[in-house]
Amino acid sequence: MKTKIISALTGFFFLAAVFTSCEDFLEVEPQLSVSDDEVYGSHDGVLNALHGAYALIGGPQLWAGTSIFHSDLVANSGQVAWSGTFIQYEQMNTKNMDPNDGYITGKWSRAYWIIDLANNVLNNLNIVDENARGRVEGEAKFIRGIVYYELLRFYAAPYVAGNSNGHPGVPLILTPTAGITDDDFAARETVANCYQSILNDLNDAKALLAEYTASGANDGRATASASAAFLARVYMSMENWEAAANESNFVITNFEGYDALNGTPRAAYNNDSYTSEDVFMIIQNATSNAGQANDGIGTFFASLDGYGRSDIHIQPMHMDMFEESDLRATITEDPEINVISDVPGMYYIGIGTRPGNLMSSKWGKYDANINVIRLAEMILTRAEANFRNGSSIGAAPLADINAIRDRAGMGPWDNLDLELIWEERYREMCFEGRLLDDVRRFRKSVTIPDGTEEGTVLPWDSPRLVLPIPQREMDVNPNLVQNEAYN
Amino acid sequence: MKRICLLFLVFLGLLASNLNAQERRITGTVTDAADGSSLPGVTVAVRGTTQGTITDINGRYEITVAEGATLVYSFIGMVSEEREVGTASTINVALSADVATLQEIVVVGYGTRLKYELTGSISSVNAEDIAGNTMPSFENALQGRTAGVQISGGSGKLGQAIRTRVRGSSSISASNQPLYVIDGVPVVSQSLGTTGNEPTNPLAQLNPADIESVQVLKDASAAAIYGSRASNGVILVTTKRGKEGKTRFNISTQYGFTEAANEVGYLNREQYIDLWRTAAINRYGEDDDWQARLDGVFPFWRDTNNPDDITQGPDEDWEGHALRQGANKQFDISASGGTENTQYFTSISLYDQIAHINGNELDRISGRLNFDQKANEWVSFGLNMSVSRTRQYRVSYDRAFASPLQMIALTPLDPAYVPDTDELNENTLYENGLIVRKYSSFDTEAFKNFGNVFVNLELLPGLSFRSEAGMDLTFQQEVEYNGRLTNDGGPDGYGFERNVKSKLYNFDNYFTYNTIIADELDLNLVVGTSFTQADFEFASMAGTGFPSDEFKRVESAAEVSFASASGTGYRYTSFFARSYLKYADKYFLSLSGRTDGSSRFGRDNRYGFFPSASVGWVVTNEDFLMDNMAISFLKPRISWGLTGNSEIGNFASRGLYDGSSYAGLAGLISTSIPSPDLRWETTTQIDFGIDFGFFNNRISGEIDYYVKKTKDLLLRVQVPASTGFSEVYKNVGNLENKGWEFLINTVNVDGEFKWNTNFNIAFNENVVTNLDGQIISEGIWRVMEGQPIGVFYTREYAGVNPDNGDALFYLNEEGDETTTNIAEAANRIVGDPNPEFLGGFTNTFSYKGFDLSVLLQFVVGHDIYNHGFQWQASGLRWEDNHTVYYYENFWKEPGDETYYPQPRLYQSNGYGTSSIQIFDGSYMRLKDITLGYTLPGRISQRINVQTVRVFVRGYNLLTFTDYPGWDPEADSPDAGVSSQTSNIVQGWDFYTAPQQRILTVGLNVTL
Repeated sequence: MKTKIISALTGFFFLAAVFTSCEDFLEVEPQLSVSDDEVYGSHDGVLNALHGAYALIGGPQLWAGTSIFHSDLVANSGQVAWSGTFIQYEQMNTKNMDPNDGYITGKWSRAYWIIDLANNVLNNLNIVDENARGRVEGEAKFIRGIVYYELLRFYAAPYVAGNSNGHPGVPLILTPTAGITDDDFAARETVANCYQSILNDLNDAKALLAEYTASGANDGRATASASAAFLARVYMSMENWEAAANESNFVITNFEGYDALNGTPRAAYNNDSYTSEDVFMIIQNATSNAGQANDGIGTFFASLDGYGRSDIHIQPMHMDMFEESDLRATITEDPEINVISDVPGMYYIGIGTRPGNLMSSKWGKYDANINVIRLAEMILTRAEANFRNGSSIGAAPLADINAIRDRAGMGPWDNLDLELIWEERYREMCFEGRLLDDVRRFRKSVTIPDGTEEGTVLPWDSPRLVLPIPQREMDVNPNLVQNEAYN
Repeated sequence: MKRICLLFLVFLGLLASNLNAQERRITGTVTDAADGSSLPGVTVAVRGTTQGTITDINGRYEITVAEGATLVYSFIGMVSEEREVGTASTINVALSADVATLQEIVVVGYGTRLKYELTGSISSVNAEDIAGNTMPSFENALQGRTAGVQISGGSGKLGQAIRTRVRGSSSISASNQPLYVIDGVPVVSQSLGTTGNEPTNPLAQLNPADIESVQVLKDASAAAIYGSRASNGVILVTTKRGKEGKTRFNISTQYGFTEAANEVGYLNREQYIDLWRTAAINRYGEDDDWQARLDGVFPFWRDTNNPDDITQGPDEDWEGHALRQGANKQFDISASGGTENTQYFTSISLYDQIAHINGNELDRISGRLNFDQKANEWVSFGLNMSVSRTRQYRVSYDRAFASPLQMIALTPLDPAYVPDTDELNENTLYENGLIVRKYSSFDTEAFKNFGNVFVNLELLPGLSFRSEAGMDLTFQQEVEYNGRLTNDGGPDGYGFERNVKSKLYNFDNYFTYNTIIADELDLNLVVGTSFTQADFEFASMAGTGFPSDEFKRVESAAEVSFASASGTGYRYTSFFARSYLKYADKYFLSLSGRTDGSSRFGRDNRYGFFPSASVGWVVTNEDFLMDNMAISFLKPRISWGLTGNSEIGNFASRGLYDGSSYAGLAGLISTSIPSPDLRWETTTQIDFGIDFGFFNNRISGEIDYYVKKTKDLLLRVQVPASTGFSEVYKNVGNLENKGWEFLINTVNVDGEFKWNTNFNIAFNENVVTNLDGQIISEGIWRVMEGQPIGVFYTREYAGVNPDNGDALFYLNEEGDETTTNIAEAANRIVGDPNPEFLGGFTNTFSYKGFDLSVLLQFVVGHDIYNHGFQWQASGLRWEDNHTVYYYENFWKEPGDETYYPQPRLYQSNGYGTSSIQIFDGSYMRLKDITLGYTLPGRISQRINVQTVRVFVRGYNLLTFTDYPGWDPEADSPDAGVSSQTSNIVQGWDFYTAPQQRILTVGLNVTL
């Protein structure tokens, strides 16, 4: 009997000891993650975080999706019809944006996520190998700068040249988040200060990346040209025409002028690599893309065989902007097309979901690279900036405009006015996420194209063209003020 | 002791009985009605005399009685049966378990108790209610049968996750699902499916027919022995074991058909055209060329031969394509028996169900061996082992266009096939779901190997040691293919493949000590340890560009678009002890404690202690009530205890970076900020209960009142997104559940005709008492202080302006001022998805060989957000087909008081999210009705079988509800959501599949 008890007890305590004496039993390490101190403990770790920031830029919340969309639907006066079922986009189209909108919240959160990564990289430059430090710093500043610009153009009322621009911009966070403290409940910085920070970052990036100008090995990553291109956009928003002309001229010079433009307008889109006129693209491929079914820009624009929701239908009002024989207005009407490469035209009659509507062929492939800035935009920017400035930095405005027209198969203008520049820019840049800024700069009004307020005209600076600060952010952070239209 | 008394009486009776001249010799066998196994030790007494006998090891008896005597068959835990001795010389009797009995054995953690000794609150469901369950997973059998346990099917898709709530939701961010313990092993019950589809339910891989009983441990004293994992209740499943006796074969089979429990009804051609015309005229005026507008949307809406006659043309019934008549087949065979030292139960089962949802099927084959061996006086051992293969043919999640239910968005004017051809129409308004059905598949195959081995040592009289090693191994493969013509597969095919290995090991060791400390003072002591280790491995990949739709595996893909391999896991170590004191069969005291360590928390907060205490007093065993004829049983009880919850992510306490990549460069992205102080979320529960029986237990029942307070909620606390993070796990906040549970069993008529009733009803009130100022939103669901979890917070619909048909919404957070602009309307709390009360009402009848059981199940007071109605009742803001309910309830002319506003083609008149889509989901269902007939013993014996029973069984035959959607049980599980989202998002109907109605005929044969 005794042996029974002893044997059982021994067994029991042995087993108990095996597991409990070593605390290790409860130590389970994650297989898919590493801790933050490991990331910022080495050169490679910091580089990885920088690459992570690039990866986040490629999400559907920014240039690979809603940035294009938010701009072109919010500024839409009926050039396109929104016929999709996503109510959030419907609300943008009718200028009734909802602070609870998940896309509006998503853009905000994604932007600051990228900014925090960039801040972390900048905070840990001292452990980056010296010979790589400049580029890492430049890239991180480029990323931070362009993301802040993106936030500002959507969530803040426009910058008005000559004013103090003391109205609220967005929280300006330039240091990494460690733990959550009271300081993390940041208020909105003024628009003026936000713009200044963006200029600082992009100017630094342009200088630090001076040796990285060519495309090819630098595809998809920040370069001096890409920094200058964004600077040109920022200066245009600030109506600093001379600086905008200089920056766009810097890009055009780097690209060696008009010859870098693709042979046809159609050649710039749905590509798997940079074309000669791409200044900055987001690299996508089959394994890494913004999404195919509900996300990513293409799905909303396409009506192809098995691809596209066919949500954006091009309206006569848009086509009326083109003259006949404009290569940018060619329509492919062919029921045999399957994929976007079968479509030679800039437009096609949809053959997939909701067939029979007029679709744009700019976005027709879910895993193609995303055009962010093309040389054509820089040429148009230089023309407009020079025209408004009364200068001819790099080239005369008329020459620039005619270069764009020439590529579109159109004869040259003899004289230029602002309206002609607006029209040319509209024709060239439509559906590329520029409309909202252009409407503001050209002081164009926006007409609500649909819904109960159909026909209502909103001025260029209407608060209703500004996105709301996300409601979840308002709820969490008492130091924020909401935008005017949403109070 | 009782049995010995009886034996003695029987013996005396035998001595005393006078031998009568007209005596007859009766022989027969007594069996268990549930499984047909023989019952040894049944007392067979002659009524009105002291004469009697007991059955032998094979359940046989032999007795000599006077003609015209009545035999009474009684056995502990069974309903007694009486038989008049007629001319027959053989009387076979099947005894069924006495649900109301207080002698019933109840499984508690690490031991068993007699029901009357319990001091906690436990609901039980026995084998008969589970066996023959027409649904794949046993939880459905708990619906309406367990007071205070809310089971909702979610969507009607087979084998997909089921929402189970025991006494309400006790957490916001951590899981609210109970812990499932099968034969002592805390199994993996969370979904192992891909996040790209709805969660699956691993419990559907267990054959319900193998289950002997299910106990739901509801209060803290019952559950606290499972400590840190018990806040949401514990569901103990015990499988069948062999009994001493000769081998019994039980064959059971069911065949039947399935269909949707309800259909919504969508517009036919004539109605849709009428609505279109109305909406177009409302929007564009009388002269509008509305037919031209139809031409622009529906290429085939006109009859090709006679295009001007709009009464001719396609009239497609898309709801009829989404739903169908399916089939249900089940076949179970089991053998059980054994000798004094060796007992076994073994079974094999086939289950095959073709669901009512187009494309959805589940089949399962499973086998089991449960084996017990007594090696010698002090060593016994055994094993429980089951293997199963479950195949699920899944369809997309509710929110996906490819879900078959979304076909109903298509209108009758879109023909399924191009007219005059057999080609599927590719030009429908949205994707033609029949193309998806034809070219897409999502097959899931799971192999489960589940069981444990145990050894039991009787060390000393009263002292035993038990060691159990259990495992729950699942290997699951998911293979998805979407053809080139589908939206998800275009333009050249998409294949996805995922493999999961889930490996859970559990090792329990404990001593049990029973002793009599003093006169009438019994002690039962359990002390032990438990270790649980779970590891999960995942590998998945996807490819695009297939040579043709014949090739479905990623190997043939031109491009691998996604590949991933990963793993995760968790560990628990535990020490537990429980003492149970009983004095004079009147006073009971139970104390328990468990210390748990979990790998999910930081080193300093790893361990938690979870104690409980409870007392019970059997008043009826006191002298002053002993002889009371009216009150046969009365036991008040009180329990208190602390339980925990740690069902959060495996690494929530850490600051982490995950891998990512851009343009071929490896990268890292931050995913969480550290929260090193994270610790258990704890729930204190107090329960006051009373168990009662009146009139010889003809009326019996239980009443419980409980208060569950959860503190230190494991909350995903929101932080400003401008920090780069949205939230961090912290222990913040409190919530509370309190409620009443009533259970009443009555024997209404006893005798040859029997009628028993069981009624249970439970009221639970959930309120979030403190969130430290947080507001947690998930779409229109909110968690706010002072409100139940997940209230609907959106614009409140104020109805239609009867003068012009405009939709009106309340403008401000309070007050009656309205607006027609939905965007201007303020949000209000407009509904609550949590039910006010729920329960079930079972009536069972038997007469001669017939038995009838009717279960009505009800859930009352929960609201449902029918998100899909935004398009199905949009007033043709969208071209989607609309419901008949909409068609019959929209505004037509001034003065109309209707639910829906005036339809205006392509224009929003009240379109958008508001309480217009929120409806009361209260319902009562004829959940289960079974009518059986057992052949008389003389006939079955002629064909050499023990018992033969034929039955018809109906599941969800009738539903009583005002809810205008498919199913008031709607609760879309969605794909890839966190436990917080699934806790908060309740009552969401987004093209959610209805439950099914099943009608089967079946046969039970015992050999």
